[in-house]
Amino acid sequence: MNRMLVTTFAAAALLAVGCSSTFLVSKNGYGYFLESNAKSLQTMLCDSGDLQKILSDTHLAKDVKENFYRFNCTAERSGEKVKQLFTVMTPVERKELRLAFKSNGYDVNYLPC
Amino acid sequence: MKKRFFIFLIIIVTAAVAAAAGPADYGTEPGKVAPPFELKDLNGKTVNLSDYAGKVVLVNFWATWCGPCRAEMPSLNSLYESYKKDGFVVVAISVDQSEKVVRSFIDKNKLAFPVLMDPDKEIYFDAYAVLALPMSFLIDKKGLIAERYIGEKDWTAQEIKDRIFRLIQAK
Repeated sequence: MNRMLVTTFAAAALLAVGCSSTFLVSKNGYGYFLESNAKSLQTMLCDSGDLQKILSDTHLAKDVKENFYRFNCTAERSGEKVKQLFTVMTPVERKELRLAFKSNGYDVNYLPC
Repeated sequence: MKKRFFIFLIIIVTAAVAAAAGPADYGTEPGKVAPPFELKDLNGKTVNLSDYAGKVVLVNFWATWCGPCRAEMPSLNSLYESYKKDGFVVVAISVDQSEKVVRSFIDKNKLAFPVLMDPDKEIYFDAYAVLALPMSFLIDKKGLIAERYIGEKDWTAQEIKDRIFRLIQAK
């Protein structure tokens, strides 16, 4: 029930107020902003090991992988820092990241309505 | 023999000049060369950004599931209608998964500008590094990013129209 409420709220916020200004990831019909503090996001992406697997599937530099994980799955979580990391990546790196998310069952910046 | 030598020399010199010029400085900040794209429109026709070389182009990233994207479409259409006779182009790139949904929206709202599909987000995510929807890039006649617009806009606002008009007038 809580998961549905969080997702519904995220969806409503996205559709009504303004669409994503940071990474939105969705899996199995559930979508979350990466900077969200939702426990369900933490469970889905971090505790499951999914993000580590996603990052290991890329050829991103070690420090980029570490920072991406740190800014998403630790107490240093920061949407702004994730955005900064993303922006300075090359198109090839962004493609790798997108495909790695996809091959692990995620879609980026897509809200399944 | 001499003819072959000169042809070879021309090829070498041309390659050297091209190499010295360096790769294009692609990016999405103002002043950078707009990243190229090749996508299909709703009729299956392939469209390249280079098809609009020499024109002022507004590339708009959107999705039918994005409320603010939908909301700004009428004013975007109005802007397009105002300046298309001057060669101004609006290209709307949808990241929807379904062409049918996009087509339905376009028809219902009578949108006149080209709509391209980027369901895999190769242009949206990889090339243009877009994280917000809607997001638009105004490209000048030289193919350089002139402005970035994040979020819903009133495209009939005088400030925006003046900006576009100045770019159209520029040589």
